[in-house]
Amino acid sequence: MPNSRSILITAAAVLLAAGAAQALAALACTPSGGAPPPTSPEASPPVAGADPHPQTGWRSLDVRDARHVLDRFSFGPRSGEPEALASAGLEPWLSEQLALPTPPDAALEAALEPHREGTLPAVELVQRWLGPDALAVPLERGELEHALRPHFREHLAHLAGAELGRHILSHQQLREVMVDFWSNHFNVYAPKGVIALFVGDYVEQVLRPLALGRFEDLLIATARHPAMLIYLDNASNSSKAGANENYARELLELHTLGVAGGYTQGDVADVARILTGWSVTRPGQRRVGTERPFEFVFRKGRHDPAAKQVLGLSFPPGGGEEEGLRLLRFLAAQPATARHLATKLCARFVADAAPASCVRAAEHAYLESDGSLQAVLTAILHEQSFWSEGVRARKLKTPLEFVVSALRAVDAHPDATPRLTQALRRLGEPLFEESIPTGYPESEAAWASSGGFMNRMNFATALASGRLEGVQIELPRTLPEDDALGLVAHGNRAFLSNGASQQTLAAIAAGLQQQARPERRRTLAAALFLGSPEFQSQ
Amino acid sequence: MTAQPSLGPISRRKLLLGGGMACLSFSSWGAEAPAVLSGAARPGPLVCLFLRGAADGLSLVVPYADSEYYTARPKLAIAPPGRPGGAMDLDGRFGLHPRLGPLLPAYRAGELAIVHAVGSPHATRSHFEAQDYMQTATPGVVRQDGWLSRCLSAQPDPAAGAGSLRAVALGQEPPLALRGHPGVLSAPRLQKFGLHAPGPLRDDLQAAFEQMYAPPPLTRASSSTSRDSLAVGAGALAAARRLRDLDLAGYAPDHDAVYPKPTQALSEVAALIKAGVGLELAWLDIGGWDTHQNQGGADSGRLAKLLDPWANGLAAFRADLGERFADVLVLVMTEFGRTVRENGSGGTDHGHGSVMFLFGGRVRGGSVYGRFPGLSPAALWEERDLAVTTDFRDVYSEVARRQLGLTELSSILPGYAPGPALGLFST
Repeated sequence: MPNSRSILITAAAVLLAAGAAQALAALACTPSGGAPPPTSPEASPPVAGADPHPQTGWRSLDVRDARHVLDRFSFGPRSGEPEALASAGLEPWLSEQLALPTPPDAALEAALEPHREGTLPAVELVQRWLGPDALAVPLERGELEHALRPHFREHLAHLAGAELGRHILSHQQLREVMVDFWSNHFNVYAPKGVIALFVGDYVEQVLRPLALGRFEDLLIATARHPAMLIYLDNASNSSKAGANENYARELLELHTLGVAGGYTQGDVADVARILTGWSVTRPGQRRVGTERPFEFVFRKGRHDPAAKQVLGLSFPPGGGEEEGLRLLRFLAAQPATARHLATKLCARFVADAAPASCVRAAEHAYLESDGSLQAVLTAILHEQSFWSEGVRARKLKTPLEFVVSALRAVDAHPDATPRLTQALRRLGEPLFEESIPTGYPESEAAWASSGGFMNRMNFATALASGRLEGVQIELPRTLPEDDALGLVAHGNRAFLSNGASQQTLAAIAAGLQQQARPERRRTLAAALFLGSPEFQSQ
Repeated sequence: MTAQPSLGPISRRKLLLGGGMACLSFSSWGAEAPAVLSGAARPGPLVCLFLRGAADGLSLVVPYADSEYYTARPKLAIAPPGRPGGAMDLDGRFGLHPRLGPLLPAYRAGELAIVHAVGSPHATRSHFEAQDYMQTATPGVVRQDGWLSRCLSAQPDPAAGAGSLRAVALGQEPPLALRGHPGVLSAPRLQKFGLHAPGPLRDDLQAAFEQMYAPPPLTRASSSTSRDSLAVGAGALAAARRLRDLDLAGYAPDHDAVYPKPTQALSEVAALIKAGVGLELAWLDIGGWDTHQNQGGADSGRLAKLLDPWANGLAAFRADLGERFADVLVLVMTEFGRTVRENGSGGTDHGHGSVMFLFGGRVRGGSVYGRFPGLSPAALWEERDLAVTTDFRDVYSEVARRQLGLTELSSILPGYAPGPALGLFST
């Protein structure tokens, strides 16, 4: 097999012969001679890190800056978006992204219609699958689960289909990014027990609407949702059977204070006791008043009424349901919680090893704003570490980020089938199927495997050649040219905002020279750009 | 649970450095591992078979001398040796399920060791939790990296960058046991690992991707892409080339070995071992063991149907490898056992202790290891399950030392206090 150096030389020779070496060098972001990067014509003169605008306080953006913003604060740009953002400026874009309430989006809703079943409430799902009277007769939990299980596979595919559809198509991209973040921060595992019944509601009624609100509201809503109550066993946390500490521990360690948050085993035990009786109504149980199945319920008879103490805060006897809410508000306001969330968010938006200055800024914003996530995200976007050259295009995309960014880059449209989720499964990140309470990891170390990279290259190839099940694309709209040099230049601009290395451009150019047929050339160009090392990073 | 949510960033250079240091640290094993005072074992391939769903250890290795077994399982018990459909006697106390008969010669030849009443010190009866803990080797502590990844990280990759075939997972994605290490290949069948495209297009893609992912000269190390990602991508492409050259689809087993259909992936593992490509770890998942209903006995039911191909497949693997088997170990495990008492639907429910099999050239086979606590009501765990008397990490630690050649286990089995040595290995 020829070694890579000789291929490089061959490619250069081919291009020289075509008189194209100069053109190629001009396309690359890192010319070999150490000359400064060429300024693309549409970029405004100020570079990254330029002084903020004197009136607005907002920095002016060039196309590379805009791409960096879209790489991190969205699931990656659609074609033309970096240019549009650079010319419109950061502030209007951010206001639109943070807008509440979410503006209606008829096209998005139409695209999601085939997956609508995925997001129905649990009661409707059971009645749809098992008949209208299914919940009228008492059922043991095991029996119900057994009857429902055959429906879960397709249901989960629709759930994931709806989720992917929103990630790809929604204009509210920052909200979608945060839904992914919270889906992992407040992870639930759909295949456990009957949790699949609740995940659609959990995402649509809790995570998505509250993704950009106040952390406290999100924390309380997850704590009371059947998906979380069942996943971390708080539904069976009862003073009668002995407290179950599973949720209490993860609440402190993962959801709020963090592992180094300064709590003790005694705190965990008392948190568990505070939350005794927080449970889920079940079908077939004796109904109290107008109780409906599959909803949050506070069971006073299972609640431990004695006094408790958490991190020095006293909970007097007889606090009932209210003391749980008081606990959650108290935890949300802790500096350790601010630090924990700030660190995780900076790791997500800036670099795996969260820069200290970013953590400080985000933490400060959190505490000053009473836990406003809009304030925290705005602080991160303003923070100098976000704009530093050292973090740009250096963060390996998770499989979800890779898949969604590739689909957005070619303006793919999901079809009515739930098959797209299979692609994500092959890459190792099937939605709602991470069993451990940490959720899917964020770091490069967790995702950089040989098998994973091969799967990414295969995904890119399948997508570019129109063989990816579950989406439709029209590649000529993304890449109108069909000659080799035109494809290299346009692909570099469209997929990477001219961020490809010379090595990558030479490899793509050499590959395209081999293809005589224009359609094949276009397919190959898209596959190579989307499978390139540069496109794996953001 | 306690979580360790983040791994530090791993770079290939750090791995190499760390691996080198681990090889030099001979100081800390003496006190806890008298069996290896003669020095580190030469590494040999480890093939893990994970029986997902909790396999019923009491049917696989039948405690036929314990009368409580027959009391608790009027319908499902395997009869004692000598009766129709009876177990195949191992040592006067235990017998193999008759469908595991193809493995009996290996037991008699000293190549198959069994550990009974083995399992996790953690009490969970949740499949996913127990499987996770068995793969991270940290019962009760959530981690995002697997114990076998940590074994890989402890030693340098001899083929780094040249298409490592050190670790393969025969499945869609690496199992948690192998998560967190960059050199793990995963594919349902290795013959399919590589770029998928029509012939000519595939060759063009392969050449272009290889050129892109070739690590650039150091002078250009500051280009925008992480060098680690480049190295991982280059490794994947080189591995695909090596696998294609090996022509696994055309592989013909030796010694007339025949792999039953469900076990074909095992033949690919044998092919890699014979090709001498430096395979250290292979992982296969086998599902279907969650026999709440229709578990069956000796001849019919779900268990017999599952055991049949896998016993024959493992026997074929042994025959196929011939003398190469001397350095190989197959480790068969499951997340927990099943209730001693059969349930009302011809099955068993989630239990606690189960069995592990060690099948290889280095094991001191022909014995059933571990203290069997018995099935009398007083001996049961939580009044229903086979108690665990051997921590699965007792087995792991001997496997890590004697099969993988590791000496420093504190980072591989964090929080584990070694129990008494089982002595599962002879060489």
